[in-house]
Amino acid sequence: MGIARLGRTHDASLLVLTSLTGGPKHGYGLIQDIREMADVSLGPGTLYGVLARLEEEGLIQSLAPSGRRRPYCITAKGSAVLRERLQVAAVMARVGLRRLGAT
Amino acid sequence: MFDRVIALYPRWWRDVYGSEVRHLTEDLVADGQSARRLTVNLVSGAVRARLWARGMPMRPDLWAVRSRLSIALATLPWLAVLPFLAAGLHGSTAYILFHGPDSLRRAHAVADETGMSALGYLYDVLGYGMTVGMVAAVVGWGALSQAAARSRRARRLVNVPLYFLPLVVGLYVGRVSELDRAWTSHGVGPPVPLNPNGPWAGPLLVALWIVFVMALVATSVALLTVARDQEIPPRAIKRGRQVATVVALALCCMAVCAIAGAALSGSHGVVQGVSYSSVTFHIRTASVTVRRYDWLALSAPLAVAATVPIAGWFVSRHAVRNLSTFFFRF
Repeated sequence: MGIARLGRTHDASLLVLTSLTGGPKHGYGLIQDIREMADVSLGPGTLYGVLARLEEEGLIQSLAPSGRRRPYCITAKGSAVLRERLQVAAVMARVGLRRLGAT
Repeated sequence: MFDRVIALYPRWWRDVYGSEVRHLTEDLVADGQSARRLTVNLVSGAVRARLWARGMPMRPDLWAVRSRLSIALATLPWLAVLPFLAAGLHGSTAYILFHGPDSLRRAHAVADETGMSALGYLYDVLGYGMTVGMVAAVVGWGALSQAAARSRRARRLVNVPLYFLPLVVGLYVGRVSELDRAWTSHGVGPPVPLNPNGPWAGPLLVALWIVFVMALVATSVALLTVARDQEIPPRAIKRGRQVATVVALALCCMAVCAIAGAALSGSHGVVQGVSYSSVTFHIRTASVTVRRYDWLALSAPLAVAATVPIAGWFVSRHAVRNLSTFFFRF
């Protein structure tokens, strides 16, 4: 079962940051990668709202446009924030799965 | 079609992301995604971009415009519901603050006698809210328009409070002289025992209503013009946000009272031979009856109007906070 079917349990900013750890991507590449990675379909309005917020917070930055597309990359600050959030999520996942296994 | 949807986004957003999003949507449609679904997503994104302005460049002029617009949005709905308030309160036998202390005591006596004291107090709250909102608008927008006096266009509108003065004075005088029931005693209809006004009361009431409508239109135009002006210092904008806060609170309070009045009302009664459940205005051959249980007609526009200043308050809060960084930086 894909994550999207569980309702709004996915965090769009987390998905974007995770996708960018695989290298700089433009908007279309982000949507494609997130769909393959997490089976979540982000619309352009949602995606660019997230990109604007992440760029404002300094977690990503835009690169020089290539053709008609402009790629984005994750910054050092973004990597640190993502690492911290994923570590918290990993702990939650470990505890939750252990407890579920115990019941 | 997508160009029209992207045009819903703010200009600063379109300058940064507009072309990217346009090309992206073209690629997604070519991939087979639903154009309708993409349109809905873009529209929701435009609403979020306008409300929260995440990623907006830290330029004082942009944030100043945003602050002013939010304040205008916060107060214009209050102006829009004033006619509903005036019409709904106009024919009541439970008088509002404008009548003065004696009328207020009489209003409570009437309400108590008929066992409907709760409705009487709710009318009072509506009247107080109307008064507070009016004073806040006069003081607040007067300060804001004074601050915008540098603009050549705004200079002509600098005396915004004067638009409200004839309205406030006229309404107070009219209420004190109990003009509201001039219609029933000096138009077509049975005389009302509590109304001592002469035949001049009717034409004066018409004149006051004309002034009221003119004041509403003029003030609305002034608000929109001030909202577009760029020469307003942050301190004045903060004051305008305080106006928005007061107006939003007044509107919410009045909406709650109107809804409560709608829930409580429904019974009728007779006081001194006059059925106070309804008052009929006779205008030549037409007649308009404002009933006590027209609370619902009041509560609907109040409730709708209250939502806009609430959103405007949140928007102005974010905007003024960012604008304050420029103020302290300089």
